[in-house]
Amino acid sequence: MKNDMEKLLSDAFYAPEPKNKQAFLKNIRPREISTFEMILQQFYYIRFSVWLYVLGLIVVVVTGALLQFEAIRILFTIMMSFTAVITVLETRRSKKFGMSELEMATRYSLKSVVIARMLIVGMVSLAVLFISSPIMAISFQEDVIITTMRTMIPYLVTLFVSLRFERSVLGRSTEYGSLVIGFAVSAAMIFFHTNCREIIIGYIEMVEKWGVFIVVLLIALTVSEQCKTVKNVEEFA
Amino acid sequence: MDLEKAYDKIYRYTYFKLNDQAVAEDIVQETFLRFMEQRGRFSDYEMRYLYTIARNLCIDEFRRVKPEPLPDDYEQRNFYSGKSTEDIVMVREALSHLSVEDQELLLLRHVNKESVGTISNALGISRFALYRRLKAAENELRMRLEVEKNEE
Repeated sequence: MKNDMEKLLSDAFYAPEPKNKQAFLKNIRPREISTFEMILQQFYYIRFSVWLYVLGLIVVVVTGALLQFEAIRILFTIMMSFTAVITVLETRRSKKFGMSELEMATRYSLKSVVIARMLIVGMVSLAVLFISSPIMAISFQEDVIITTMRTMIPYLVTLFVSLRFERSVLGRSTEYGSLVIGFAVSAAMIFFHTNCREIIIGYIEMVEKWGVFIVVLLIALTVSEQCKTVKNVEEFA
Repeated sequence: MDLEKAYDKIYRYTYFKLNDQAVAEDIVQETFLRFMEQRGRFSDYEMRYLYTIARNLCIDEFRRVKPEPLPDDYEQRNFYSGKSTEDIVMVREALSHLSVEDQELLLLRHVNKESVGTISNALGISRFALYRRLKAAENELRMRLEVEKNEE
């Protein structure tokens, strides 16, 4: 239908100005929502690039594992380290914009948004880890638990160091400091993988012997670091 | 889309249905309150729910209120309260020959500019049926307008 006709229709369906619109809209308040609903809502505010990265990671790892590319093992570990960096950057984004999304400001505290974001990205990272590791293990005929732990350790180390760095004075003034940590961890892994095979063999042996203990310790340290981040969140909002 | 635009659209719709400013506005507000009670937040995607609630509330209102004779100035209130150029009067006249359902479709699609998906969901009909009915309504309106022009 032509524009001029639409204009005429618009005039033909005339309605007088509503009298109480502004007063009503001013007073209308959305109802309280549950924690679960709030977490669910936060899904919409996580950047598209994060989901794209996670999807890319799964595709790369699964394809690599099925085709049995040797390099995929180190690539998986490196990519998981960057998943940890993404978790920290997502938390930082919530803090940086002081609640990040204005429409949320009246409903939740910054603290709850940060926790929700951490929880979502953290759960997604773990989901990726627990989907990809068994595929890797089966493909390369390794123990599933050992493979998972071997990937989890650099991930947790990156997460722990990044969170600690973000709380420091330098971290607060640096925009993408945790990205540097991610690169450093990745570079170290590539270096050891290509130049110091004995260190890698030692690392695999260490994981086989002490893996569970190390993972539990790193989880405890990371959780404690996350708690500190949440606790101090209002200070550097 | 913001809440204010949604309010205007639903108000225009309920006013079309009820032709009473105060009642139309009451129903818009009731629609929003019910929606917020259920959903907690508003997004563009959920316009169809607002239309459905508003439509049901209008039906309830029809059932509740006993039919009363139209006021003397009904014709004027209904048709001449806005801008009344010759063209608009002609369109109104042509519209009055269309069924209420067809008028409703034209309002939702061409005045409120709702998507086919939103309208078909709100009215509970398939997209194909909506296209067909909309085309028929548009053709009917064009034909009526031609007749009006020729009569002049």
